[in-house]
Amino acid sequence: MSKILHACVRLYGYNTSTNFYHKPNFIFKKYVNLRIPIANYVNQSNAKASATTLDVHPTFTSLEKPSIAPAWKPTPSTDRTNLIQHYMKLSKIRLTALVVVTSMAGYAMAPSPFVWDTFALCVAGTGLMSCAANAVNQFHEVPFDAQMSRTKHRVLVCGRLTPLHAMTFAAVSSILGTGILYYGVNGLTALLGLSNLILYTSIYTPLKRISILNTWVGSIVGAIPPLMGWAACTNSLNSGAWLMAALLYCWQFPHFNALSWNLRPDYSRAGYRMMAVTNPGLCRRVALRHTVAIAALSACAPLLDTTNYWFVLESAPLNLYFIYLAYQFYKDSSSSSSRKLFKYSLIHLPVLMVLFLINKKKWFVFEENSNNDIELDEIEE
Amino acid sequence: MIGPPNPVSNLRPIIRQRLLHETPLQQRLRELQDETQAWNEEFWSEHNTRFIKEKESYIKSHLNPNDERKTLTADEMSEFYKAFLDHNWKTHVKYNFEWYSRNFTLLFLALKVNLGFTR
Repeated sequence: MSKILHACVRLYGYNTSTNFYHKPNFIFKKYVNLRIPIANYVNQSNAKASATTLDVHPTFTSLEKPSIAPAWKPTPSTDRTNLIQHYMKLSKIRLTALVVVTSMAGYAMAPSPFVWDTFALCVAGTGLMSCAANAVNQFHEVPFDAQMSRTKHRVLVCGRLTPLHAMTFAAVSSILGTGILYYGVNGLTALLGLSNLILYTSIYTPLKRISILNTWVGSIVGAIPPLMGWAACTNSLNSGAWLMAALLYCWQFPHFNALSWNLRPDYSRAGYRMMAVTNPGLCRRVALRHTVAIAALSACAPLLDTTNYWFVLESAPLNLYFIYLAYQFYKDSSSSSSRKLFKYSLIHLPVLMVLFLINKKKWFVFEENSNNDIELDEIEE
Repeated sequence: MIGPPNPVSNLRPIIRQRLLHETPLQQRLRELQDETQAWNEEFWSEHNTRFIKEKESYIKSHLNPNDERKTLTADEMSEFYKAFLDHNWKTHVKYNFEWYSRNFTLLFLALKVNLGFTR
C-alpha cells in the first residue's frame, strides 16, 4: 500500500513542478488554468485529507499575467488564448462592422422582398471579404505601419502572427466569402465583392505610396458595399443603388481628410502620399465640397423613388451640421476642427443609414394564402 | 523572439531559431528573412535620420527672424512635409517595389516550408 502511496506522491510530485495545464482555449480567456493538487488518500481510505497543500512554483506568484509586459516576446505568439482577438485586430473588426452595416442598409433599401437567409449570407460574405482585404493590407504594410504611431501596435508589426498565418487567414476568409456570396446569394454580389477586394489590396494599397489618387480609389472601395447589399436583394443595380453608392463615396472624403489631417508628420515620414500632406488646400476644399454633395444627393433621394419626401426634412439638420463642421475645418484647419469633423462623420453615417431605412418608399411584405401561392402585398408608407 | 522597436528605424528586431538539421529550403527562408530584415532596418534608419535632420534644419532656417517661439505652426511644417515627400518619391517607389517582391518571395518560401517541401 505504501508503494501505491509513494507512487501517487511521486506522480503528484512530478506534476507540482508545473502547476498549470494547457488546455487549448480559442475563446476569450485571459487567465491561465491552474490545477491545485490535493492529497488523495488518507490512511488507506478514499477520504480526502482535511488539510490541503498548495504547491506553487516559486517564480509563478499570481494567477494573472505579469503587469509589465516583457520587452522580448516569442514570435509568433505562443499564447493561443488570444488567437480570435488577433484575428479581429487583423481584420480591423470595427471597420469591418461599419462596412457590413452599410451593406445591410443597401440590402434593406432595395425594392425587393426582404429574405432573411440571403440577408444573413450577404452579411456574412461581406464581412468575410472585408476581413480578408484588411488582413492583406496589413500584410503588405508591415514596415510602414511600424513607422506610424497610430499603427505600430498592429498584429504583424508586433509579430504576434506570422505573415504566412495572416495571408492564410485572408485566403481562407476571401474564398469562404466569395463562395458564400456566389452560391448563397447571387453572382453579381460575388463579383462586386471580389472586385472590391482586388481594388483594395492590389490598387489602393500600393497607390498609397505613389500618388494622392489613392483617396479617390479608396472612396470607390467604400462605396461598393451598399451596391453589394442592393445586388444581394434584387440581383440588379438601379438608380437607388447608385445613389447610395454615391453617398458613401462622398462621405469617405470628409472622413478620411479629417483623419489624416492630424497625422501629417507621421504620413510624411512613412512615405504615404496623402492630400493632407502634399496639398492641404485641396484636402480642405475636397472635404467641404463632398459634404455639400452629400446634402445634394440626400435631397435627390425622393426623386429617385428611394425614400419619401420626409427624408429630406429629416436628413437636413444632419447634413447641414456636417457642412458646417466641414466649413469650420476649411476655414480653421486646426487639429481640433479636424477631430470634430472626423468624430461627427462616424456618427453621421449610421444615422443617415437609419434615416434611409425609416423613410423607405415601399416595403414589400410576403403573404401566403391557402393555395400556397406567394403574393406580394405592397404597403405604401 | 521579437524585441522592442529600434528607436531609429522603428522596426522590431527578430531573433530566429535555427534548427539543428534544417533543410535547404528552411535555410534559404531563414537567410532571406534575416537579410530582408537587415535591408529594411538599414533603409529606415537612414531614411528616418535624414528626415529628422532635414526637419531640424528647416525649423532652424525658418525660426531665425522671430526668435520667441520654438516650433513652427502646422501650416508652415506642412510645406516641409510636402517637400520631403516630393524629394523622396523615387526612393519610396523603388523601395516599395523591392519590398513587395521580397515580401511575396518570403511568403511563398514560408508556404513551401510549411507544406513540408525540402528544396
